[in-house]
Amino acid sequence: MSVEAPLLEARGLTRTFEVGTGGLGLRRQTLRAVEDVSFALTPGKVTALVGQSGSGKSTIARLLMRLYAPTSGSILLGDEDVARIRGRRNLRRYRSQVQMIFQDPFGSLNPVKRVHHHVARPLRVHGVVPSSQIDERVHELLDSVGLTPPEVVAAKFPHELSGGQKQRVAIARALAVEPKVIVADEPVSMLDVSIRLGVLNLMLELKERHNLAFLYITHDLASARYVADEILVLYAGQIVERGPTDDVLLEPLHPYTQLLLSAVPNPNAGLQVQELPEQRETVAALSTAVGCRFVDRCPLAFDLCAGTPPTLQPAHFDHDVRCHLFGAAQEAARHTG
Amino acid sequence: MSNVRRRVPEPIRLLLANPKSRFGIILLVVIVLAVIAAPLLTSHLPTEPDSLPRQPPSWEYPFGTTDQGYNVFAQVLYGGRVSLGVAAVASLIAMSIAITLGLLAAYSGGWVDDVIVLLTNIFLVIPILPLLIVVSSFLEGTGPTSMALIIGLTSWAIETRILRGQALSLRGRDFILAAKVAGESTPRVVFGELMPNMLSRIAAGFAFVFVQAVFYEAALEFLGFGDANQVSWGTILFWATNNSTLLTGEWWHFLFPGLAISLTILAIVFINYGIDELSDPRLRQPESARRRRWLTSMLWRPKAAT
Amino acid sequence: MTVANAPVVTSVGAGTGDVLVEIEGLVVEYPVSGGSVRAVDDVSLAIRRGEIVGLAGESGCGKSTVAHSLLRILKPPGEITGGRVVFDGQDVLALAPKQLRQFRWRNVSIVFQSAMNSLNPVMKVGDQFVDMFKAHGHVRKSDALRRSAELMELVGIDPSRLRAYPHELSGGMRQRVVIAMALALNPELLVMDEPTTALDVVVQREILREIEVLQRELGFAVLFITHDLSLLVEFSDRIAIMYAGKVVELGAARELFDGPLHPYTVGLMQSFPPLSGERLRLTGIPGSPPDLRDPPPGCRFHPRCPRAERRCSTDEPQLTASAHGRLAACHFPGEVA
Repeated sequence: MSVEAPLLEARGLTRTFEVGTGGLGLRRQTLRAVEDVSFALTPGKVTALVGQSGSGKSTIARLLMRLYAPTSGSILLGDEDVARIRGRRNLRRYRSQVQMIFQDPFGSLNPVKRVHHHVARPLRVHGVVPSSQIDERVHELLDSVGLTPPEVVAAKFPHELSGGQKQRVAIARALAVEPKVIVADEPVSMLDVSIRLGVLNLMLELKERHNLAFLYITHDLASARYVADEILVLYAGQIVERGPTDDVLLEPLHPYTQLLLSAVPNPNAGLQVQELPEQRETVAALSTAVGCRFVDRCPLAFDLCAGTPPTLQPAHFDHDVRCHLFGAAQEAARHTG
Repeated sequence: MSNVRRRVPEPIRLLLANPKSRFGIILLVVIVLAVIAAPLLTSHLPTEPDSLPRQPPSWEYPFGTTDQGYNVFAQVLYGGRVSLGVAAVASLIAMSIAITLGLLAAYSGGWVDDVIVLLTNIFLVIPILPLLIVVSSFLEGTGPTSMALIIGLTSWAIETRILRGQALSLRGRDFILAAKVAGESTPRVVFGELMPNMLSRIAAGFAFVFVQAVFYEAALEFLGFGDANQVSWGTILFWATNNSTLLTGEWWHFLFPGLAISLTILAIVFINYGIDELSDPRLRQPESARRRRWLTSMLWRPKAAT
Repeated sequence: MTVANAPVVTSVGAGTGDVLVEIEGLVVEYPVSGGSVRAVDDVSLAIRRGEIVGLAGESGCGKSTVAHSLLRILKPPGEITGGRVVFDGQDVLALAPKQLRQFRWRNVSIVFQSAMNSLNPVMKVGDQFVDMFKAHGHVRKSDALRRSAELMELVGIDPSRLRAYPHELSGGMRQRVVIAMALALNPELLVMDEPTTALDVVVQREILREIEVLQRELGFAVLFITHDLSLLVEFSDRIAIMYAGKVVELGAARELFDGPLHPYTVGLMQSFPPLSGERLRLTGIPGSPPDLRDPPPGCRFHPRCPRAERRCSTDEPQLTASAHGRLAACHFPGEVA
């Protein structure tokens, strides 16, 4: 299989927010919600971005969709840097290639609009098909996401659908503009376990049929393993580990990835989990924090970790980790070498 | 959408389907028709003292006559044109301002929001009736047009605040972001996606401001700040008090204009009952399906999938 | 006939311990035009003292309705139209409103899925504790605060946080506060209705472990409701699986996990992709749960069942002990599809 060129690439993507600190209110701090995040999405591949709430994963989705502008860094679509494009026409052109599926199917559909509206609007706005063919195309799209009979579903209001069906409408809406890239922000986390597989399978099937590049954002490692070719683990706004799915999940290097893995329900292991102090990731991402952002929770932290922030470095072929345990070893190797 | 019935506009159909709002609509239509068709219902003119004075209601004078020989029936009918017209224009002005400012403030945020909120708060703390009195006493011989303008320009603040609040809570919802991502323009997002979710509140606002305008118009006229020669429900009441009809026992002189005001307000209140269903499709189903929805909401938790 | 010996049957796998709650032939109905719908249909379940019982199933299967019936907090127009609920010898369905108030927090307390948002945002956590104690006739403010501090410590939060407002606590901490409140009056049964669904995996994990530890220390029983079967296996002693208003399988957690009898249980277990082993395309459970206004004849699961035969569409299987000594409502229990 030939290696395809990346379709959408994030380079050094950074977004900060000014936040007031509790109490006095006058002191302002900078929250580094997303810092120096780079990755590439390629056609026919699923990249999973794994993180917990507060890790900045939804901010990345919104940056990619240009719902926010990044503080620095670039977003390359082909050769064009779209990080700072402005104007409705440019954004619209960009969004005809990059589409998004939102986490909450209960919130992402307008409650007063019928299913037809949700799928027809993008077709109309982007002029995908002539007006006369819109109904037909809406039905095709609904059919392709397994909503049958499409004529009946099209006339329904969101509240008349189940959660899984709503998410399928959201997928049909994203597909309407015939995008090349889909950003799916926790598309199944609000759904019952029993129907998650159906939606994930649909995504995989559509990815193959349309050769889509997929960014799958999730907090669930098992579903990431199920769909993704590559995994990025995000902690407090930084990528702490990245690599091919099974390299990362079967041989996790970063202590945080290991913690996440140990938290996945595993009937064979029981509830034995390392005791770790709870911490809000957003606190670790404040500009006042120095050193490794995971240091307060890390069972393996040593003196270097508190003062010096580690960098993302290759540990094995194609498998990078942001941790002094590996960086230091290499550093030492370099010095002795 | 080809597959959706479009003969009767959906909002009207929905309002007619609800017994309470159907009653309100019928009542309002009757009042408006009567007011429009005044020349067909009476041969008298409201400004011609052409009848016997101080006559109680009879076939000849359905609502009686005043001490000057004016026909109260004709006055109420013709006066309704002014009163309803002023109220309609005033509520249109007020709600246009409220919708524009409320949505603009909520959607743009930043300094635009700050300015609008400040302005709204200023108008909120000023008591409206005294303000109206002051303004109208500066304008000599306040006619219906300026009356509508004054009421309209002073009654938008409460609704602006309410609409802004509602728009704020809707603005952060994913479907608004989704519409942006789908490529919709800002006006389209605001008026095509956001506003339809607020229809019920907007309609309720209309009803509220309309009722208020009917009341203020009557109050201003009654207090003598309007043009006393212009016949409206308020001026009829003004003259009724001026002539101490309560003491002389000419009850018909104030009862019928008062009744007209009350019935109009009643009609609006009843229409309002049906308006909730307009903006929440969950409430608008054929009876069987409505039952089912309500059942579903009991059986399935709203935040999870089925 | 099965109903008659239900009390004996439902404690299978529970040993012969002291039964705390006995739900027997519970029926909950919701009126609909031209009849009524049975949201819970002839459910029997016993909970022993100090036992953790899991209740799993898809949304709408009636699992929350069972819990709400037990506390008599059903939302109208839902109505208990059959069966008995006996708590420690007293008939819960016959309790007067005043007794019910006592019963609810003293004997049984409940933590909801959205519990972490159920704290009053404008009141300090400590004041909310005090209010709760006062509502249940508990004495002076200083005593109430002292007890609150103990409870906070119990769930692993620094008692100084009693002075915090809810928004100053993380989601996990708020959930712990709510659990502490639920345990305040030493209830004998704690009902948890999807208490961790809204939380991150790591936090979810820590809270579950916390409850397990507390449960061992304080000896209360737990009824744990979730759509995520994987949580239950390691956490609970026994598991009941509900489908379309009925219990379809009931057994000791470990046994149920090692050899599920009902094809629905098998489907639920196959709904979460594994974290190790081969990456296969899974199918989950095809189709969706039935419309309870018009449930399929015979076994309610047969339209989605890989094992279904002709008999399944005509005869309704009863919850009976199989050769394995466990309970399943299936004509072909435990047979491989």
